[in-house]
Amino acid sequence: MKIVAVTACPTGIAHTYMAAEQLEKTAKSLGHQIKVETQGAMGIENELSTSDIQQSDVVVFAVDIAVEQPERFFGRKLVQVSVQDAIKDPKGVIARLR
Amino acid sequence: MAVDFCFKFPLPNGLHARPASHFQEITKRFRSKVELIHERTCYKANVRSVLSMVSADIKWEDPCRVQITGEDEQPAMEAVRSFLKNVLPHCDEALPEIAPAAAGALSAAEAPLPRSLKSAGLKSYLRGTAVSGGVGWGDVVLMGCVALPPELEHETATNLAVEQDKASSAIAQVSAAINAKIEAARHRQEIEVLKAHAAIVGDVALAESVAELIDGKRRTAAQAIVDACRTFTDALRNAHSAYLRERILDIEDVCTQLLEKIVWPGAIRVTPRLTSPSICVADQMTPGQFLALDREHLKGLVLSDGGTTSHTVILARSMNVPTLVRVAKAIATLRPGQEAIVDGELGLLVTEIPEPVRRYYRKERDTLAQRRRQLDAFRTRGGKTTDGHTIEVAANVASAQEVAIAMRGGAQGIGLFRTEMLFMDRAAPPGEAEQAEIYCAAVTAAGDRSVIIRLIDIGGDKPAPYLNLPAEVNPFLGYRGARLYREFAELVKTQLRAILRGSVTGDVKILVPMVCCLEEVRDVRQLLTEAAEELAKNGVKIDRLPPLGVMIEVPSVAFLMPELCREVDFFSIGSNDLIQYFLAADRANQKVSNLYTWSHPAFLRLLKSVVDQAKAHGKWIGLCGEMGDAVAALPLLTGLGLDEISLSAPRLGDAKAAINASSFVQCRQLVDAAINCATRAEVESLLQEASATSDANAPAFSADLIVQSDAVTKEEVIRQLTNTLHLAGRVPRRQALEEAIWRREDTYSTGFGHGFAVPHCKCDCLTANSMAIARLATSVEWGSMDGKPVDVVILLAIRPQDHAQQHMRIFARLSRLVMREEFRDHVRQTQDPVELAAYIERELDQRPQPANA
Repeated sequence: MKIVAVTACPTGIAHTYMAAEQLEKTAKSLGHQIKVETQGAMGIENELSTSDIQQSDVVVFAVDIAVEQPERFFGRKLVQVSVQDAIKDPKGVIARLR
Repeated sequence: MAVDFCFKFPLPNGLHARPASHFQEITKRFRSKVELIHERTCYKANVRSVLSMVSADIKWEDPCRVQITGEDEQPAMEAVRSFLKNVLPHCDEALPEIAPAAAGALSAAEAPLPRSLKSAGLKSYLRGTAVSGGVGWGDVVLMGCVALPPELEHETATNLAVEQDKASSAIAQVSAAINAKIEAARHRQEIEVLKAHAAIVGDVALAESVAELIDGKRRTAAQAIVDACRTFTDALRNAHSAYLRERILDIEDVCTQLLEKIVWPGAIRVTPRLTSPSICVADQMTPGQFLALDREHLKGLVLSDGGTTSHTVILARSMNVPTLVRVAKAIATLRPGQEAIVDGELGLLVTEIPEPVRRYYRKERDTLAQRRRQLDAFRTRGGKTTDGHTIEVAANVASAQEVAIAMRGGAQGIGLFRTEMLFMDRAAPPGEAEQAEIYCAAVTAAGDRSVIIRLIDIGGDKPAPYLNLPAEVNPFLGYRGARLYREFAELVKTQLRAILRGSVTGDVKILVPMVCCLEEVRDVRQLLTEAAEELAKNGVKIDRLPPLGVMIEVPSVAFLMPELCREVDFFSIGSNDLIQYFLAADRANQKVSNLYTWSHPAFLRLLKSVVDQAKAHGKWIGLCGEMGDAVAALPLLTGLGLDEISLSAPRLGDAKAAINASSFVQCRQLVDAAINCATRAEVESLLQEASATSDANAPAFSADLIVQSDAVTKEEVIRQLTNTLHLAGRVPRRQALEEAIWRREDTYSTGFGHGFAVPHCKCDCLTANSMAIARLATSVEWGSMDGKPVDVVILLAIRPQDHAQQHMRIFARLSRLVMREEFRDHVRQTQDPVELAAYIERELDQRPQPANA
């Protein structure tokens, strides 16, 4: 699977990146491709481009707050989970994407 | 189409999880977009998200705006407004009474207790106003109250004649004993007190009252004495004059002595000798009584009554004795001998000490002691900014004994020696010889440093009775300070002669209080000349008259500077009274004390004008009011270009540390910006910004921020980490940081499993972005995602102001690293903090490489 993801936690200091790390590690270990955009205190990093999104099979939002520039994802297959879910059970989250 | 509503956030604990969830609830009925905007930071929170609201970091009194957009915005706004008015203010648990703002503090006193103290189960305590910091621990010693044990209180008098005899015999014996002591006494202070006591015991009204109570009311001698004592002291309690109220203690002292002749000494509460760590509790206490207490065993002081600037308080502060005033009903609720803690940081008297509270205060004591030791390092240094500008840091004292203490504490001089105490509490003013002895002692203790002695500054509110000053409706605007000098010229000349004698042994300067016009200065010059002549006639030749300066406290002086500069040698700004007169607000009047503040831009403009004019005429100018005690004000005082600031001795270390870390150029810029502000709020926020950015480049992490912890609860761990940052000089106000961490932690636990937790927050109270690590000896429950306890806690704290990309990158990188087992193992297993810090630095330095699709 080609996965694109956005992580965003309210304070934007720690959990945004922890979730990103978990999703990347887990997806890769399961043989998927993944690109994770983080929305944290530094703003948007590793921004997902139009082609990233178009070429993806599924979009994952691991977020506790509203995603910035959500219009990029309109019409895509989207699965939304909490940041905690991504950190605690990344395998479960990936499983939900099929 | 949108609707708006502005308000100030009403809850002292800020917008945390609980009120936020109530707020979120009401939006569920509507479809419109509801936003909560923090006006200062412009952060927009989505009211439908509790987390979003909590992230807004809205604190008490922050200006907020609710904005609602959508088809049902009108009904939604109505519901929101109703909520804000009726529900929100009650969302929190009942809060403890907010103490009045401490003089010199930047914001209102923090009323809520630290989380770690609340969770330690603090239940029994009394609230007061802390006037001297630190933590004092000991057994309660009640002072000054005369009372009989129950069996004697209810005893019936069987033979009235016998009781009369007992009473008159007691009076005679005590009278004789006091007179004998007067003969034998050496110290003048002691003699004055004894003479006052002799007057009381020999007082006809006392004897008559006692006799009447025995005969008329059938009281026993002991009961009659206690009753008579109460009658007299009650009458005095309502006296306007503080001086008279303090006489209550003398009466009680005498009655105690009388009772000792009749009942056994153990039965009555006497003014005690301290033999073990003690917390002394009294309704009031005179400076003399305070000085008589055994310094080694006096660990804390609690006064039910008492202003924040009374001389006893000033003494207690200079000797680092944690002190609380305005602790209501203290004497009534305490038992002698019970263990108690005086918390001079939060203003609490803790009367029951369960084990977790004990642990909390032991840690507090250690942390404060460590901080003091750090500041001690500045003892031998002067006040010098990073770019080489010097400002003298001196001490305010009220007695010769304090001079030695101040010099040991690193004072570069005595900026103010208040002499009033020498004139109060006595039946006649001190003579020339007595004063000269004191001034010489002060000057000698100061070594080669300068001592500025202020002439007697007394007024209607603290009279020396021998002056017979008339009672005034408005003593503050009345007959006080230099205004008395014409009428009491001889008194002043006596003091001047004594000061001149002192000037022979060292560097002395003379300061005139309450000057409002040139004539007063000329009068004092004249008196000084005459005093010198009188000394010359007695064979004491003064080669050079000491410099003569004036206090700047009456605002008129600000517009008289050119003339004054021609006739005086130096100036000292008395900020306390200057602020009161300038803003027309009595700091002791709770209705208007909130107006009393040095951060008012108009006041800062006044200061700048006065300092600029003094410097333009080449005159030395210092400041001796409590504004110098406030660390937040130091950049302004430095930037103004003052030659000196004089503050209370315990503040010397903090002041020097702050000055030595600042840049004069930046301080000057700060002053220029501050005087252009329109309100105190603008000034205060400017100062807060400045204090934060000054440490912007400090590294976020270092080995001294890695600590071993024996904490057993989450609260203790978080408290310890805030203390660690505090001791590293990264957060002056610990409680603000503690609360910010909890705001995030309450939303959901930062324990993500594997025995690790990453509490984090944004807090503008930090002076530098920081990361700290605690390795716990025992695992602690953290409410983690995997339900298991935690043994490594990493705190990430960042300032919201400058989105310091550099540090944020480090935190982001760290957040990824903690998800890796190898990293976690390393953090657990590397014993040496220096080695661990180096490992972490290496790992952090590697560029983050998120995988690409």
